[in-house]
Amino acid sequence: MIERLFLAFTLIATIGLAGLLLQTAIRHWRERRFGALTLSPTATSAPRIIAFSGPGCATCRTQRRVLDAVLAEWTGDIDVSYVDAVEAADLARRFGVVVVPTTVVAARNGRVIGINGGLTDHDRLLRQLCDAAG
Amino acid sequence: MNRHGSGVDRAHPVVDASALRVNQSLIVALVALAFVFGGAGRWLVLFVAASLALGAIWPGRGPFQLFYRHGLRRLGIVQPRPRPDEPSPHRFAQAVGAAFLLIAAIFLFAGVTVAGWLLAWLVAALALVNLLFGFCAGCFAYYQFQRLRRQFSGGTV
Repeated sequence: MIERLFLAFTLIATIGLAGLLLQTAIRHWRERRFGALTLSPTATSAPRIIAFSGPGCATCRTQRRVLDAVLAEWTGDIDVSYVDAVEAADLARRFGVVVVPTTVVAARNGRVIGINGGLTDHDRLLRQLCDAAG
Repeated sequence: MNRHGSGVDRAHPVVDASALRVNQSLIVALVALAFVFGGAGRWLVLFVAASLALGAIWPGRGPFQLFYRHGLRRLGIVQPRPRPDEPSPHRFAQAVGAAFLLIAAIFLFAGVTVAGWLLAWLVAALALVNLLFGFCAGCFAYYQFQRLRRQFSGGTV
């Protein structure tokens, strides 16, 4: 039993460590791959949000509501695009979309501030928008 | 709060993030404990499978959810953290976890212990990854499936 207890702890620690290493590797990869990524500046030079969703994605509906709440709070100009990641596969691939919803936030000059995979909360989006507008 | 405790109203559903984390923690802890117990642990794997299945079929009434609501939350050990979210993907993930653990339990009772524990630990690993890093394997698989389906139906990818 002691051996199995030790093995169980080792497995849990290994999974946790592997997850952490993978998360770090993905973050570095994203920064290298998308750090210099820019979008075409809009006519109004406003910050941009591209919200990727998918067919039948229930969480995407929640992301839409969170986004609506953020937009309701935002006082300046902002350019928002809603994109079906399955239909616009090339665009989704360009931003490294591997899960939906994914939200891309870009600054006035088109520089990508953040690519958020999965449901992104209100505070994080607002923070990124402030960075984008700054 | 509706009777399932999962939302204020159906138009703006809310999920208790603490309940989800307790659920994931219990899956990891109980599967690990089952593994430590060895042969007798297969009953615990079966119990976890049944608990997840009950939670998926009757939201808010699964043993883990009852333990969270009437135990941890009532005693103030864990604070509720409601957030806008859809309950359905989490119920789906529970159902998939229940199915995998049920198959694992069947393997274990049939004496196919390696396959049984591999499956059980797979479920625990996915729960742990979701708990620690917020990565939803189901969400990832769902989107990839949609992409591939589009590709093979003749769309461009």
